Amino acid sequence: MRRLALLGLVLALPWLATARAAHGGDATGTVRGSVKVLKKGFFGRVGESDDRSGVVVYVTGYSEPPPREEATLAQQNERFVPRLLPLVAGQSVVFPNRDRIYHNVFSVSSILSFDLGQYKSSDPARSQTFDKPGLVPVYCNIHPQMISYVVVLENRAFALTGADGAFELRGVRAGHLALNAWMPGAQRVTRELDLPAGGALAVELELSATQTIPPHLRKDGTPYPPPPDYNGSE
Amino acid sequence: MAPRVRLRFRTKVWAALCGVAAAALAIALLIAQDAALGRARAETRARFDRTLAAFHELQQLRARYVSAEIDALSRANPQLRTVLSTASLAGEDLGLGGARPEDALHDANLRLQSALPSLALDPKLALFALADADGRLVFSRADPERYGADLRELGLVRKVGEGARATWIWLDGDAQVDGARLAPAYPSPALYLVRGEPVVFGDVVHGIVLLGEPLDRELLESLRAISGVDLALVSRGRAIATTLSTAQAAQLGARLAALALAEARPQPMAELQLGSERFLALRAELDPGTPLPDASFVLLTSLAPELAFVRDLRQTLAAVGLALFAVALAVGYALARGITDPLLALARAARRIGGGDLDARVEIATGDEVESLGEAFNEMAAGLRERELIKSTLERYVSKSVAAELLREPGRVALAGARRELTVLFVDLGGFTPLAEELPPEAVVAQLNEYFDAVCGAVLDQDGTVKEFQGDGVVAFWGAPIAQPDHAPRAARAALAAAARLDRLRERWSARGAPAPGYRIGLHSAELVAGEIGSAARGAYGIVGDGMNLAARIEAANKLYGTHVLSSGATHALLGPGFLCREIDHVRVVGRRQPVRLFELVALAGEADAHTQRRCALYERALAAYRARDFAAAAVVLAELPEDGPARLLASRARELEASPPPPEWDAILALDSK
Repeated sequence: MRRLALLGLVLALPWLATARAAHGGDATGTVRGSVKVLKKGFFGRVGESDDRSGVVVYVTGYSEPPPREEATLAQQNERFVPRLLPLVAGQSVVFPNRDRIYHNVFSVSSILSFDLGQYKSSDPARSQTFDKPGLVPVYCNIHPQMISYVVVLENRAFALTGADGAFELRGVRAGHLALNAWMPGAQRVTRELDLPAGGALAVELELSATQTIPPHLRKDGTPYPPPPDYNGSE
Repeated sequence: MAPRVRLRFRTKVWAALCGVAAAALAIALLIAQDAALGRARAETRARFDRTLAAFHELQQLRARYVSAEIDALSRANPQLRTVLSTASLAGEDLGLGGARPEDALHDANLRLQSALPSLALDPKLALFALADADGRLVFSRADPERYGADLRELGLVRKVGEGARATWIWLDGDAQVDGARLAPAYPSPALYLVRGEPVVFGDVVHGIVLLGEPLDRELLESLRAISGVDLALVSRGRAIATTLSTAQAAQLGARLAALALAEARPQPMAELQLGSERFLALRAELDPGTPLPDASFVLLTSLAPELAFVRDLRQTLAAVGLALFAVALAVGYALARGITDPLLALARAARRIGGGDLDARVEIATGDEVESLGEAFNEMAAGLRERELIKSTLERYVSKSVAAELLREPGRVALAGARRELTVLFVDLGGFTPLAEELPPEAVVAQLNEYFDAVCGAVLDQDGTVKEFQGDGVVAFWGAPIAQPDHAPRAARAALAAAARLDRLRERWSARGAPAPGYRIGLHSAELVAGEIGSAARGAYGIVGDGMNLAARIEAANKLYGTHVLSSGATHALLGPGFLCREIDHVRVVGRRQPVRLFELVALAGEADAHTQRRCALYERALAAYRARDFAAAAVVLAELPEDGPARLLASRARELEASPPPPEWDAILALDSK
């Protein structure tokens, strides 16, 4: 079962309101906070993970043009680095090969299907533009363990958490919007906010990455019994 | 009386031998049968165990093989892996809009359909299905165009969704999930061994691969080729796949209830009749882990060879049994005869002995205890005969008490000649012989017998021994063959008793008009030789010595004196008190220089009347006077006893001597010249 709990404390401080009024017409604010990650321990116990990194926190509800610069998704040590790459729709990503060997970049996602072919590090790095928001998993057809999650977002209000789980989104357009957090293997957490212009909000989020297959009830609405026909495993 | 079953010994021996033989054979049969079937069971159990081990090993091999196949598919083939992963991630709702998950699944299904012909899939692996990370069907080989079915109905999918690798067995009825067919439709249900593995990137499941093959007859046949055990896979009360014939398989389904999976480990074997064949069967779990509730494995081995062996054994033992009965009959007969024949002979001989035939003997030569019994019996009969002979002989001469004592303590008997002091008793009837000539012999014999009865009775009453009858005389003695220190008083008492009896007898004889001869009794004590006298062939216990003659003389002297009982001085000296005696005379018998004093034994002391006592006293006074040559005085005294025989004789002798006085050397001894 995935439990979603929002423990955030939302504070609107009066001096921030007066500051926004003083700046005059700049309708953005800041959202900051931290994300807790619940993971299943070695013995199956669910607990807070010490490593809260790798969570993308982003805002949905408005669109912004992409930045000019290209994002980089390197192929290094037979891994995609970073494993999770958030960017803004319309932004291009360059895929440099930093290994000695050949790599390939391709996706069969319905958001974006492409195949950049196989190339080595001395070849010019190839790039690809991601126009449509959504999750585009990127693979290498040579190395089965290589995967990167390219998260194509609507705007620039996003951040990746560090080990402490803290994030800070600046320049978030004020108004009614949704704050989301996601990481591979977890289900997205979303929180609706009303961000005043020039204001700042502190939000605590909790992300559960405890179960691969989401809880599921039988068609008659009852839970499954423990598998009776289960017959051995390894 | 209730009828009692009498069985002959022979019958009993037969019955016992046959019973033992039958029991031994029955036990042997039971043991052999038990051993044969037990061995069959043990061998079968071992074969079952090996087969199960082989099956499980095979299962694991198959699982590894299928696992390798899945690895090959999911790792080496970028299409399968990335299509599954992409389809799984299409379900992620990041709040960014985009394509619908259904479209993504459709796209993935199409991509997999396109890729299928190039997938190097073993055609045996008829079950090939792919699901996304949420358990939705992406592609099934048996139903290629279907997708989106919720495979989380399957425990296997839920298990694999958690990142585990698992092996599963299911009936193909179960393989149709949420409307999608995972395995090809067979005419009859099939059990599948299905391997499920996740497609994992990092630690995140991006899809599920299911790959399985049917557990079919072909697999079981290959197992049987190795183990020689018939096999059946059963589920829902029927044999899904089996190496048995169709008819036997159908019967197996009906008898599955008798083969319930037990809690016991190891599972117990059961016997099962399928058609005309008998099987040992074992129901086992398909995998030694958690059992599938309604699918299991049945191992069967025909008991036909073992039952045939037991049948042969029974026939052999039956033949052996018949032979043994015949042998038992013969041996029983021989054994019984060895016992019963001698026993019957013994019984016959014992009856003869009981009938008084002490010469009965048995001849038994069996060489065993029975022969010893026969010998003992013969010894007993001989002993009986000997004792009976001795006893009957003895009792005629000695009293029963002496005879008994003799028989009891033969050591006291000195049959060899030995000098010892005895008292001898002579009895005779006076003048009977001439009388007897006038009587018929029968009357003589009858009268003699009465007389002998009286005398012998008196002798035997005093434990005397009757030595012999001499005509109408009787000789008896005391002090032999057993020592009797009081031989003289005993003889004296016997003499008085005999005298009394004879007195009465004579009265009876007179009363009936028969002749009543007088009697004479003489007693003498002397050292005599007593013992067996005669040849080895024929002898008698006799007494020899001069004393015998003297005794006879003393007896005869009664005639002279007119007395009945006379004893020698030797006897008188041994009498002691208790007798009334009087000295009669001092005589010298013919052939003996030594004179002998003669005493009349009158009566037992105290039994004599005053008259008799006076008579004795007077006579002794007269005798004293006579010896003192006072013949006149003696005659005077004797004149008072006119009826007394000795007195009359002494008186006449006194008168003669008075008339012609004897010389001075006269010693008053009377020479008895007649016999």
